[in-house]
Order: sequence, then structure tokens, then C-alpha cells
Amino acid sequence: MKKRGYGLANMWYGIGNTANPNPSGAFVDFLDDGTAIVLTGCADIGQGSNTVLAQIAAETLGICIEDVVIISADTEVTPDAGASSASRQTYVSGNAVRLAAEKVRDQVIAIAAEILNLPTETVNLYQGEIWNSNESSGVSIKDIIIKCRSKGILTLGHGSYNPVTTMLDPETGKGIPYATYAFATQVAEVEVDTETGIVEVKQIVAAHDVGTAINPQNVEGQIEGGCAMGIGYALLEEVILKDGEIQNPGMSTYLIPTSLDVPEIHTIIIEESEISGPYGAKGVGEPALVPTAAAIANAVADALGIRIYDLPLTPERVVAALKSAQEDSKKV
Amino acid sequence: MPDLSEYYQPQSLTAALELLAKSNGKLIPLAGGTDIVPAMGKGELKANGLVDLSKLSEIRRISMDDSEIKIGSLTTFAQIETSPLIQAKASLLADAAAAVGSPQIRTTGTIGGNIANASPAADTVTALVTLDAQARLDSIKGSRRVLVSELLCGVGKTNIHPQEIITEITFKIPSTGSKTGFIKLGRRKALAIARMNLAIIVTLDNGKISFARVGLGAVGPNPRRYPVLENSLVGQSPSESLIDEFAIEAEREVTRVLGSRPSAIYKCEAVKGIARDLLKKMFSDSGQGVV
Ligand SMILES: Cc1cc2nc3c(=O)[nH]c(=O)nc-3n(C[C@H](O)[C@H](O)[C@H](O)COP(=O)(O)OP(=O)(O)OC[C@H]3O[C@@H](n4cnc5c(N)ncnc54)[C@H](O)[C@@H]3O)c2cc1C
Repeated sequence: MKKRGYGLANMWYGIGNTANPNPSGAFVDFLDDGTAIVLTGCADIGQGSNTVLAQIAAETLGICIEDVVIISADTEVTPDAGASSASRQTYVSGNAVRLAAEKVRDQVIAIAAEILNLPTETVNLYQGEIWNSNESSGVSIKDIIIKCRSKGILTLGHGSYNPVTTMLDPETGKGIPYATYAFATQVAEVEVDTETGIVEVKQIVAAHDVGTAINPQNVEGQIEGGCAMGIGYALLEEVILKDGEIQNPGMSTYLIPTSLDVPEIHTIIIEESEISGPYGAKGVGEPALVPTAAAIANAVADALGIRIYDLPLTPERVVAALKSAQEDSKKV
Repeated sequence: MPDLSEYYQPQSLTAALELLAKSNGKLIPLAGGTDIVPAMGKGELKANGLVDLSKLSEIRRISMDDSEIKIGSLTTFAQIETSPLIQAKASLLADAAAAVGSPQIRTTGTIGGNIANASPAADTVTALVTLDAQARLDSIKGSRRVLVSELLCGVGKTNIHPQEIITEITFKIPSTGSKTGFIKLGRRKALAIARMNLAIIVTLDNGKISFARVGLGAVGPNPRRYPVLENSLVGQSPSESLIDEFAIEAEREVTRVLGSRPSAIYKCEAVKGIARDLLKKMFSDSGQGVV
């Protein structure tokens, strides 16, 4: 028989390394042609950090993202930006890039204010031009940079950011392990076949507070990827050990979901601006995975009326749990 | 990697058969390589060399004559899956081919290789034994036809002689109005070895099942027909209660075959689920699977 069930799981998760310094650095160079180079140690392992860091630099410098070149994760030339882990790069390296870019921006604003005879407080950089309050002066950023060069001034900036944390009290464990947290709720709908034990995830709704979504499509990608991985955690992934030896050491025996096993994932991005984040951003990498397996396991419990405490919920486990529940009910 | 010292790519079937005859069993045929290549990687291939059949386009096609379908042994799963002829006349085989591995495996792997590899879980083999398909085997000495079910004799074992090649698979088209279907139970929806697979053909006469074929894979050493299950359908009318009875009968058969094997507990229960799913689909009014 096919049984439907719904399950919900909530999570909160710290952004950055736990109770440890984990600084990131960045260099920004505003070039003669009005484009910028960003150097960052942040490794883009597919999550899109190069894009997000370029967006942050572009936003700060008032230029298009197309005019930002990111040089990343090259130990020969880029400053340390820590690991692409702990859901930290947008938040930590994003802040480093923002701070570096702000230093450059402030130099350009100072020179522009001087040349155009405007008060620095009202000058800003926007759409490649120098603006005074809400009005473009008509002078391009590029022209001001060229003026800088003629005065012998390079427009360079560096920045670094380290999330504010404290050590944890060894006795009580109290302290401030993270500067900020991500929050999420996921709901899974499943259909369980009580005879084959197959759990089919029908859909997942995933609502994530990520702070400002600097790149909503990237955020969506991270959430969908996390859910897919969570389906694997809930239903498939299992290291089988025998006499200390892994019996399934390959991708043909250690199964993860295929694209056909991943259902529609409805992502809901909650943008609760984080004051310490770059333009309000936090992180989303790991949080996307955290609640999925719990939501699926809850949905299976809802469908079957019994709870299974071991992951993954393999067909064999589901069938065995149903059988033993049946036997127990006979005994009563 | 093993040291395969010889590799041939004959341009004609005759040349291929001559090579195999001369080699004294030291050369083996290579079709899509989807079983051979992983076996080579693990050092499990017992051969001195390969006779690559891939240039023999004469055995890579699907045709029909009168009431029979002929499939060249080198025909790929993708060709079978997408063949309008197979979809119309034996959709259980199209569905079985579609259930194999992934698109990459289906464009490379062949139906002949699926038989010769003799895996208990071979997906198209379950459909073929249910169709009472025959394999044509050729060697320089001549050719013979054998039921696919009789060609298989254990896990990884066949009665194919070392100098022989499967050249063609043939089967009678189920009679007009029959319904056919195939279902696979795997750990995930693609790239999964069948935990079990099930193929069914039923012919209805005046609302009653007059003919039935039921094949199960990954229960015994090779996929095969289960006459007890066939008989449980014949003479009955499609109904919810027939589905229930069939599911219970299937559980009984699988229990009998598997005995106390560790996989028995799960498979005995699971077979009911796939039996229900498949029969429900076949008994529905949709035109799906109708010959
Ligand atoms: C990732 C992956 C997923 C897979 N998934 C499935 C699956 O879901 N279902 C399934 O059933 N199989 C699956 N397989 C197994 C494999 O794809 C099939 O068994 C396939 O049919 C083998 O055909 P081939 O042409 O690749 O054979 P090959 O590897 O070329 O040959 C296999 C064996 O058959 C012999 N042989 C081949 N052709 C002939 C012939 N004409 N005459 C005589 N002997 C011959 C060879 O000598 C060899 O011993 C999978 C394999 C892989 C690598």
C-alpha cells in the first residue's frame, strides 16, 4: 500500500568556524579603465563565490559586475581567505572584499569631491559615474581614476574581516561561538510503499533565512543541492563496514541520489538583513542540508505511524520496522 | 589493468566467427563493453584478447516478419527503448531497456551482452524469458536456436560455446489485444541494479485472462518464468481482488525459491508491492502496453 506523509524540520546553524578566529583578506585594485581586480583566497568550488564577491565589489565601487575580474584561490598571489567551509565565504570573504573595495571607493570619492568641488559626504559612486546625492555629476569614475593617476595616486585597497566570536568556557561551554546564524524550516512530502519499503520524496519546501540574498539564483542552487544531499542522507548513503573494511567504497555501491530521485524543491528565501554581513548577507551552504533528512524521517513516521531511528531509511529497514510493529501489535 | 595481448575488430560476421573458432576460447566477444570494461578494471576478465563486434552493423537492427520480431544481438538498449516497433508490439521489452542504468549505459550496452553476461538481475532478460524469446547462435560450424531461458544456466553462466556469438534474438509478438508490462525495483530511480524485476503478459478473451506469462528476475540465479504465477492469472478477470491474490501468490513463490537466504525477508514482502504496481497499471483502461 502507498502511504503519504508530511514532515517538518527546523534548524539554526552558525556561520563561520566555531569559537575560532577565521579571518579572510582581500585586495582590490581600481584600474585606469574603470574596471577592478579583486584578489581573494576564497576558493569557488562551484558554489558561486566568485560571482558573489564580484557583485559585492561592483556594488561598492559603483560599477557593473562585468567590469570586475576576480582572481581567487591562487596561493601565489591571493591573500588568505580561509576555507570554503563552515558556510562562511559570502559572509566572511564577502565582508573582506567589501572593506577593501570601500577603501578604494573612499579614495576615489575624496579626489572626486576635491576636483568637482563637492562635499565628500554627499559624493558616491554609481553606474560608473560620480554622483552628488541623488544626481549624477556626469563625470565618469574612469575620468577621476585617470586624474588620480596624473597626480601619482594608485587606487588600491585591502580589507580583512574576522567574525566576532569568543572562546567557549571549558566548564560551561558558554560563549559566543558564531557572529551570526542562519535559520531554516523544511517540509517534505513522501510516499512510502509499505511492501517494497521504497520511500519516494514527492516534494520539499525549503524556507531559508540567508540574510540578504546577494545572488538569489545561487542561493536557490545551494538550497536545492543541499536538499538533494539530504535525500541521500535520509534514504541512501551508508558506509558498510565489515571487519574494519569498507564494503562499498565506490560510487556504484555507495549510492547517492540521481537527478531522477530529486523531486521538485520549492525554495523560499527569507531575507532578514544581517547587520554585520556584507550588504546584509549571511550564509546558506551547510544549512541547506541540515534539516532535510529530519524532515523526510518525520514524513515517513507520519506516513507509517511508526518511527525509525536509523538512517538511511532503506527499503529493508522500512519493511523490517513495519513487520516488527505488526508483530508487536499482535502480541498486545 | 589486465594484459590483453590481442584485439581484433572484424568487418564481417564470418571474419568474427573465424577468429573465435581459431582462438580456442582465448578470445571473447566484445559488444558494448559495459560489463567487460569494469571487469577489466577489476582484473576479473579471463581472456587473452577481444573480438570487437561493433563493426557488424548487420546484427545491430530491429525488424519484424509476419508474427515475429527479430533483434540483432548488438542492438543497444537505447535503440530498443525508442523503437516504435518494440513500443507497439512488446512494450515490456521497451520498458525493460529503458530501466537499464543511465543514458550512457543504454547507448552503449547491448541486448546480446545482457544475455551473455547472465546476471540474475539483467533487466531485458526478464522481459525476454517472459516473451519466450529465442537466441540465435552462430559459429563457423553453423547456427542454432535456443530459448533464452535455456541458454542461461546460473549466475554468470551460459551454454554459449566459446566459438559462438549470439547474433539475433527472436520472439513471437503477443497476440493482438494483449497487454504487457515491466517493472523494476531498485534502490534509486536510475543507475541501480534491480533488487527484483517483473514482466507480465496477459491476453484477455471476453473479459477473462486466456493467456499469461510472468517472469521474475533477481530471485533465482537467472530470470525465468513462474508458471505457478501464470496459472494464478489464467481464467480470471482483472480485478482488485485478483491483484491481491496474485500478490500473495507471488510472495509464496518467492518465499519458496529463496528459502532462508538473507535477502528473502525483504524480497518476499517487496514482490507484492511491485506485483500490485504493475498489475494495477496493466489492468487500468489506459492504452499503455496494449499490443
Ligand atoms: C554503470 C552500469 C549500470 C548498469 N546498469 C544495468 C541495469 O540497470 N540493468 C542491467 O541489466 N544491466 C546493467 N548493467 C550491465 C550491462 O550494461 C549489461 O549487462 C549490458 O547488456 C552488457 O552489454 P554489453 O554490450 O556492454 O556487453 P559487453 O560488456 O561487451 O559483454 C558482456 C559479456 O557478454 C559477452 N557478449 C557480448 N555480446 C555477445 C554476443 N553477441 N555473443 C556472445 N557473447 C557476447 C561478452 O563476451 C562478455 O562476456 C550496467 C552496467 C554498468 C557499467
